[in-house]
Amino acid sequence: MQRRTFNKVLGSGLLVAASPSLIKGLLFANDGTLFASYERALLVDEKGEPVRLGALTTEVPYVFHYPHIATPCFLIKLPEPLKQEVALKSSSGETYLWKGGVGKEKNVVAFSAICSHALTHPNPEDSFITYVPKGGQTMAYDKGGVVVCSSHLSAFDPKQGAKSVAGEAKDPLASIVLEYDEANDKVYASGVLGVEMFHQYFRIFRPQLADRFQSARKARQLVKVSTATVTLSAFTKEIIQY
Amino acid sequence: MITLALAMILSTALSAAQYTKKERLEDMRAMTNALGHMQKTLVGQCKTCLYKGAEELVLALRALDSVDVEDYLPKEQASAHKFATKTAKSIKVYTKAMVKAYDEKDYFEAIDMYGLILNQCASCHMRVRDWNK
Repeated sequence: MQRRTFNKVLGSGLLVAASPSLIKGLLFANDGTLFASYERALLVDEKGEPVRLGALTTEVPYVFHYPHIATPCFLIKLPEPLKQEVALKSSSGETYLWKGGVGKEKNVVAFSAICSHALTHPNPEDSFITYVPKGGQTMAYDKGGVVVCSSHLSAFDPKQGAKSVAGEAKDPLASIVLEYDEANDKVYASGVLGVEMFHQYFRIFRPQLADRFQSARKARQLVKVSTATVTLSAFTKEIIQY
Repeated sequence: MITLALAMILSTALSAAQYTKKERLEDMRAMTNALGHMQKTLVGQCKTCLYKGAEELVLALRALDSVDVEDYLPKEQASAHKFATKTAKSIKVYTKAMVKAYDEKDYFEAIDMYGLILNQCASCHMRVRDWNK
């Protein structure tokens, strides 16, 4: 998302606060429940340097955590620009607009890496969810270029806002709102759009998260200032993809 | 050292080969019975059944984590073996958490963990047994 567009969203939020009836027209979701803004966090690499979109490898999934320190997200640079808005619908019928890619070429996207079906997600031990490049093969879908959850074989199309295109998942993956600072080639995460599964995630995985973060409460801490971004293969020991 | 490694590989291979369908069904049945024991505690019928059930459940999980799952899964689902193994690991985590919660008299937490164990069972059956089709 460009700064100007981001400011529009922010302005919309302020207007909505003043008059909730404006939600439908100005905010992405028609009842305001499918958009949440969080503290803006700069995406940085393992050395703490800002992630440069130009330096990202195309079709390689990167992982960062947002808006909580334990909620993983994918950052993907796709091979083609994504300039079109896409209207998405949640399983409960709410609609919202996904604004496409960011960056000079409008081809960088970010989504929650928590599957909207059974909450499969990457963790340091393994990842049953990943992005399958365009030329790749998967049991879940008839072509690559999709995010595949190999737990129950759901597929999501990142070109369409991570809409579910195969499998049992009914909701798209939640989108992470990116704000791109073109002058400095920096990218920030600033919100979540769509059906986020964080509440269920923290409930279902609390023993595992407590083990990894010392306590389940600590795992819920919100990301502040910056968030480390690494390739999925660097983040996890094993990527399982069918 | 090499001999020991070879012996271990051979032993694992033999145990996988010897794990018959009958044994697998017995293990699955043992898991169901174990869950029944654990539930008896939750509904107040038997205070110590949870411990017995938890022990039996973890033991029966050998069907998923100490035998080569790939060998006995249906051919079209053989690729799901890592998922089945991960499920076994999750069931152990939730079983341990359930017992801990019960010991701490946090009964709602124990009930919740029991639900998550069932959820894992169903999740694996959905994938391996194609419940969705």
